[in-house]
Amino acid sequence: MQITQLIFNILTRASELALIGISLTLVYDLLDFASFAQNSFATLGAYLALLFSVGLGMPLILAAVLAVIITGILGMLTDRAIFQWLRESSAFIRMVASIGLAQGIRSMVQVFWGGQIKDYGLGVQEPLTILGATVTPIRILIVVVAGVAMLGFHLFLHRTNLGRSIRATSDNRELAEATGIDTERVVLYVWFLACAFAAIGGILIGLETQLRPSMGQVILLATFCVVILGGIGNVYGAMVGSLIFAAAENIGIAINIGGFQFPVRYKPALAFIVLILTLLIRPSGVLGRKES
Amino acid sequence: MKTLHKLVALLVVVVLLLPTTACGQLGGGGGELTIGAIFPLTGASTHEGIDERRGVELAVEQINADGGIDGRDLKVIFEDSESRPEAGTDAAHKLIDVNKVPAIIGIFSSGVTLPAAAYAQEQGVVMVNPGSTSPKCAEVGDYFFSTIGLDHLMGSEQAKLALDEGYTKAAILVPNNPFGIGMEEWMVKTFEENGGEITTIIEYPLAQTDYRAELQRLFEGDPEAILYTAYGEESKILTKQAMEMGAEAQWIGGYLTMCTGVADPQTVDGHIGLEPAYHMPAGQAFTEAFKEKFGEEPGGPFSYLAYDAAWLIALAMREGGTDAESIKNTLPEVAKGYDAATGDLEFDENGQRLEQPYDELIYTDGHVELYNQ
Amino acid sequence: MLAFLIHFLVMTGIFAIVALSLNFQVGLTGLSNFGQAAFMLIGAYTSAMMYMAGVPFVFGVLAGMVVSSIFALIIALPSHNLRADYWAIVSIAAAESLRLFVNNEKWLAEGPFGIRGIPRPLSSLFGDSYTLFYLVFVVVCLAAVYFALERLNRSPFGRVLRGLREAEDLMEALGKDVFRFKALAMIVGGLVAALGGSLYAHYITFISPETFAPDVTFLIWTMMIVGGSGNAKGVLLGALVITLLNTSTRLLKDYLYLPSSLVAALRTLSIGVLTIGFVVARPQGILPERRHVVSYGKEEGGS
Repeated sequence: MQITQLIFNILTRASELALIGISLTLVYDLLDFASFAQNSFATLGAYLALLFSVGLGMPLILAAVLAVIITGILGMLTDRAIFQWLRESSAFIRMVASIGLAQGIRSMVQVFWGGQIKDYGLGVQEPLTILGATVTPIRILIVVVAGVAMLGFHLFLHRTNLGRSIRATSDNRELAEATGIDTERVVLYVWFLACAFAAIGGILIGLETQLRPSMGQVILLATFCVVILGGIGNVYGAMVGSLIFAAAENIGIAINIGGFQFPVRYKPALAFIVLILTLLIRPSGVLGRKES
Repeated sequence: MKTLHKLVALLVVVVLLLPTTACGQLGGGGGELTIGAIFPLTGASTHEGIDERRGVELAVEQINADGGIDGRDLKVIFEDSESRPEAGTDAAHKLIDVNKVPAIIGIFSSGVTLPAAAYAQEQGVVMVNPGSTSPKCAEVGDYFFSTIGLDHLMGSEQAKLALDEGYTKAAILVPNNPFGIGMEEWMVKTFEENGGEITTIIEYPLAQTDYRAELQRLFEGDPEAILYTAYGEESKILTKQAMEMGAEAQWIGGYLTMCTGVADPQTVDGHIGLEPAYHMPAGQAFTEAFKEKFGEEPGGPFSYLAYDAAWLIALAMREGGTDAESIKNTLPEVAKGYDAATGDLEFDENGQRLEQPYDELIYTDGHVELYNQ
Repeated sequence: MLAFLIHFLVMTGIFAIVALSLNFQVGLTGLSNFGQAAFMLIGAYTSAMMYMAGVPFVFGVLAGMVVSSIFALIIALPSHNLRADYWAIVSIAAAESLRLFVNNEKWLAEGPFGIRGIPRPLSSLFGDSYTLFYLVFVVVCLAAVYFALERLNRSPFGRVLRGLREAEDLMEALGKDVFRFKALAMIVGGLVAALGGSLYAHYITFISPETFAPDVTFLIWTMMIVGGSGNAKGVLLGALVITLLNTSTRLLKDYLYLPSSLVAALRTLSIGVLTIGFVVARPQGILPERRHVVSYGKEEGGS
């Protein structure tokens, strides 16, 4: 396979995984538990965008922005409704609650939109050839959007007060409280950000392939791998982790040494292999995890 | 927390007793005769499942208007197989264990039909299959019949079509399940026997959202034609992603309307293929009646095949008895005298369809039409 | 209706056995095992394939239990030095990898086609009343499992396991080989779950890799949480309630008008909602553990 094609495939896959990975790692960092629900928020965001664009006739960009904001707000509401009561519980309990939440969101999507495959109605994309790689305009958009989102997030974390408060709370909660930061408010904002990011990720996946109720869940293991690879709680780790993971996946499939090819049907197993290797070699992840 | 315990206990008892109170209303009340039907009403094959269901509904309407079974109305309990074998088997359990039906029409995908059929066979319940074509259908047992011709008929005809069109180098794309494997077996056999070369065989995993890796492998050998069959939703993704990859080849499909049913017209334009024929007089009559009842044309051959299945069961119940064993014994006889919507319908010694006339079709301008070279 | 009742009770019994096995690992020992479906898969496939190859039923089931013990040991290995939630993810990954392997390697067990027409043991003996016989058989197994696990619970072994749940460091300081006890807990739970899997296979007569998807594991977890983790009676109750929700939907649709697309979704929705509800409002379940300990959920306030 052309090297440029490979690079492009890796970038697209990494873009989708990174956004949900950031969502996951934010929750891990600020709320100290593995949320199985972020992937479902991604699904929800994608479907809300579908509702606004195909259902209500809004232009797709507007629909997407609206969907992202609403999903973020829904994230805040779930904190108030569910996780607020579990602050004193163990991380384990919070994880179990998130599993229930994931199932709930997925079934709600199925109840309202049905199980059939849906898409944003963009039709078939004419492929372009850039530097030897066959790409569709949508996939270029995906990489660009993901890049912009991550850059924006980086600036947000370092140049805004809220961003600073988040970083302070993440570093040392008691100290942040002591300096007058309202950590409960910070948690709420983090939920907004996490779910908004998940929604963007979901919409991008929906744009690239299509929508179905299980779309978030099928990449659950992959997103967890990305986060563990990069270092739990580390937002930049999620970005790096997704690149490494996407590279491992695509290169693994593309390998053709003397006729030996990695069987395509074992692609999901790559996630597991990467996970095991990471936990054996460097459990804290490539960029290291934050110890709270 | 004693009240909570009491509440839960009460809830459990109420829910358990609820069906018991209404028990008498279901099945067999008022001189009705009940049979079962299992179709994929949700999931990947919804398009075909709904088509099959409508075919049966139309048949039942006609049968009851025609005096039913010796004056008694025929009623069908429809169950959803969700395009999954687990749900299909669960539905079979319910129809057989709870509703005690003597016959079931269903299901669609071979992978879903076969397990349910095994249970029906074990329990001595007749099953008439209008959709599954795996060669394994012939091995189920004497209570299992198919109104649709199996893979050995379609698979080889499809390969012959490719050869007739002048293609000697082809790749194969089928779903990874008993249906797909059966098709693959016969396509490969016939194609190679007649001098053709198969470059790659891809058995695609069901229910995925991204098939680019599989498609990459499929086109690696530069095939001239792709001999394929795929379920509706998966076919939609496969053909779209293939087009977006810029891959070029002539796609030749088995059960063409199933492959193109929900796909974007652009992505399947120019595909040719085969499908069970239904243009004979009885078939045309069905098409007209269907349009009148449902306001649109049938989606594909499966509604005709399901219609034939329902009529055959009713005729068998009229001729012989209404219990499973009688139906099983009478079916082959009534089939001989029945003018099927899908042509000459006779069962071989395994209860499978002896011959199946096929139509050659091409997809053009957003729909499927007859294809003459 | 009697037929439905018997079917419902059989399914409850089978799931109750698996739920008890999970309770032993999670409720008692505090292990975060999310790979339970894999043990069921091993039990189901092993006993089905062996029985169809002519091996007497009991030996097939025992073989399933042995294989699943080995798998339990493998999964337990990383629990030694991994955080609980990491290990949870590893357990899912391991279970999914096993499932993927069985699905892809057709030569092993028919791959995605699954095994159909699994014969029911002693079916010729009971004919029409077979399901009733099977119910009795399942109940006997359930009772045996229940009492065996309760015995273990009350034994010194059980006390150590509970100690592991509450204060692992303390146990280590006391000189207990933490890893050995964890591994044993996993093995016991694993082989009981395998039994559940075998009972399932020979009743439903069809299994495929799809049958043992993670959804099943989450279902068992819900039974344990709703019923009361750490309390065996509670777990039985949980199995009853959740199985009711799971099996009645197909029947209910005949009485209430429910469009087909809704039936499947409502089933999963109700289970998800139930899980969240209990985790938030009543994490100890309907029947809490009957001991005054600091549970790993909320502090026991008083009720």
